[in-house]
Amino acid sequence: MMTEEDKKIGALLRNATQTTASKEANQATRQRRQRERIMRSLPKRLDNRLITPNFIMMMAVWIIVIAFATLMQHELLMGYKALRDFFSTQEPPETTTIAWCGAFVVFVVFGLFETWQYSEE
Amino acid sequence: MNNRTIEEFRWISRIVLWNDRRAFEKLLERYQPQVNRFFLLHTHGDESLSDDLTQETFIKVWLQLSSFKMLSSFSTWLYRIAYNEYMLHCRRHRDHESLEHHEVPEETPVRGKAEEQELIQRLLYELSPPERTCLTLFYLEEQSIKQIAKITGWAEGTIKSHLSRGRESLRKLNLKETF
Repeated sequence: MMTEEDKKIGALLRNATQTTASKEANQATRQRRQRERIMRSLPKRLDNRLITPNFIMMMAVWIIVIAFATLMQHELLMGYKALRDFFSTQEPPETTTIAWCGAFVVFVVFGLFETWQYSEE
Repeated sequence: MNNRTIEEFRWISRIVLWNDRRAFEKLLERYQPQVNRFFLLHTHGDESLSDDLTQETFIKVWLQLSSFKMLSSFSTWLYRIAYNEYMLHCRRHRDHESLEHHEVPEETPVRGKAEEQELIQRLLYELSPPERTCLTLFYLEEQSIKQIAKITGWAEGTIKSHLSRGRESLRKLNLKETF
């Protein structure tokens, strides 16, 4: 708790240091430049936590991939068979099979992207 | 919790969670002048050295912000980093001892306000480093004795005696403004 005496000393010291500050005509510009310099020199922050936003995203995407593969295993198997047949008989697969397998591939790619982002931390 | 603290908490959370540079810039805008003044007073007004030390301090804040546990106020934590940075600089350059001399400027009976302010400025530079640190943190940066103890790691009694010696030196100046 500051006493009256302390407040007086504080004001006295503040005035004295403000004199020096006013000697600097473009103090605001100098401070702005210094801020810019600091912002430019900021290194990449190392995140030491296990649960980071990128980690959560990565886990969420892979859980969706696994759930998708479990629920759509029949369609995915059909897709695999259709792909195998396509190379031997040139018979195009059904549209729904293409759609499900396409969605699965998109999720896997997204999962890989999130894993890459997490590994970049 | 006042508005200022809540705002700081919001900025800190954004920096820690999302590496938000804009939030850090806001924090920088708020504390850069104070930290710069702290270093200016500790380096006898050496602007380029103060700028370097301020930059080092804020880079450390940026890197170590996730270790800030909110057990003290952000300013106390920041000044602790600034103080450590200053001590590190002194150890590196081994000029701490050379700054230790304690010479109170001579008193002259008739002085103008500007002269008095210059005298106080000189006194701040010429105080021993612990006294200067205590006086700066207590009177200019408005940190309590408990907070100064956290920043410097000194006992509260030691801080009180540094403050009292600093006050005594100010009294010896025979300023027009009495306290």
